[in-house]
Amino acid sequence: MLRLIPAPSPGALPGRHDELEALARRAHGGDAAAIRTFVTAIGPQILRVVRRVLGPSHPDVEDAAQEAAFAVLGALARYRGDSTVVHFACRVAVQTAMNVRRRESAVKRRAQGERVDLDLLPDGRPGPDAEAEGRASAELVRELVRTLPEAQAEALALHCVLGFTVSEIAETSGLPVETVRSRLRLAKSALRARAQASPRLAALVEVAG
Amino acid sequence: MKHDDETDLLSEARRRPLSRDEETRLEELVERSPEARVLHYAGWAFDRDSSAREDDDVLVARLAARAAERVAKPVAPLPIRRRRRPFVTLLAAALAVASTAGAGAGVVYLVRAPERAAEVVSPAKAVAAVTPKAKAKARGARPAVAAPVFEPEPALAAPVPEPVVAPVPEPAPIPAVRSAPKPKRVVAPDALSARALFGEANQKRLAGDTAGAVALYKLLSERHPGSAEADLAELSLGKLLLGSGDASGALTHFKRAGASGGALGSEALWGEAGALKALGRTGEERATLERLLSLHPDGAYARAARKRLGTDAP
Repeated sequence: MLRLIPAPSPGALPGRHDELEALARRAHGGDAAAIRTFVTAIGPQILRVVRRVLGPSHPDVEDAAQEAAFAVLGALARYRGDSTVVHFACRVAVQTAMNVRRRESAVKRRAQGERVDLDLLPDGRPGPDAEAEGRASAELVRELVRTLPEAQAEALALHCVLGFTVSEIAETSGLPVETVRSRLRLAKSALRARAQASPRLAALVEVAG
Repeated sequence: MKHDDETDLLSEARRRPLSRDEETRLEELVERSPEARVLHYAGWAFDRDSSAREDDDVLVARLAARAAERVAKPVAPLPIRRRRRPFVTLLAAALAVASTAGAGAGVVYLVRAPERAAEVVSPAKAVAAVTPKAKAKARGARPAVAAPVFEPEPALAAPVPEPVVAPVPEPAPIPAVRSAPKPKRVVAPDALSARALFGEANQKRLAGDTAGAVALYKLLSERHPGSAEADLAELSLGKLLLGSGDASGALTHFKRAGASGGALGSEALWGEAGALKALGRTGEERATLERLLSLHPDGAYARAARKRLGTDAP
């Protein structure tokens, strides 16, 4: 029997924060105090998203978070209230962090002439424990987020990195549910293929046989 | 839809305790689907690794201060024409420029400049016009890469920064004697606005000048008690004093930061709990953490507070 990871994450993402809408409108209007308060309010979420996409110890977390904060403020003109302000901000932050990741990936490819090998990533504790498998799985998702076609990568990031449901992704992205479903299917196929090719994840993906 | 149910079950498992039936379905799902298993483990790792860190409040304050500063800055100076030049003058100038390299750009510039100068740049556009180049400049060595980056979809994309001024040919060097540069105006710290003081204090803090930063944050707090920066200053003071061993002083500032009940409440309570911990007042620390959880159950510090209560609380 395969073990489940039991602990539910309390409040992985908050529910509706529609009280931020008024603040977002003021921030969009150029009110410096409102901008400061707005970024202070969504900053922890932006940081959380950026850390998830880049990795918690990535040296550019602060810069990416700053870039994401600017991007959120710049995108407020297009906020129509179809999703919560927090979900909207998280999606922009995901896109920004993915851009950082992809830029970085391109630099690495040029410098090394090869792709990053998931199984060569440093890890002090290999083995079939949940800790190591969790880290390897997360790193695999990060790799896919930077290498998959953009649309699939974003759907995967919103679902796996942020924990959005299908309808939440559709709502936040302004896409039909069927489109989101299709993108997630493709992303999951890629995930499966990549996981099966990874010795580190072999134990995890082959348990069921 | 089966696919949606299964996908959503993975999301729900990260948000709340599942029912017995849901748990059974999840077990079946991860048994038969390798990708669901990887997503389940990855989701757990993402949630675990992304809880707030001790310095996040200061980091978020920096993000907010920079964002506000960017909006306050003018986008770029546009050429100001004091009077309308007659068309003939324009034409002559254009022809003169056309004889040099880059003439086309010059014509565009001369003809369009007054029109562009009349444009009002909205604050949102001003924000969008800020490109993330600061880092590259700071590091100096990052190559520009034609990377396969995401272009944000139209629904969310930050507007592409427009070049504010059309390119003009390099002007010929002017041999005239230049006047000496004007001396920089020196402004005493206590004459600065709340925003400027906050920026100065942040710079000192980042440069490692803790005493200087503390002095400026205190000055800000005294001179501009009702400003948007005041709570942030109190929060920063709390962090700096706690870091330097003055837990009692830190507690005072964290309490002040949280007193307004603004957006910093969660961070202020977390700081307050940290100061109480340092003072050995564990009962009060526990009460503060419980208050944090009751007021901000989904806040950035909720998980850290739960962890603290679950593992170390008396």
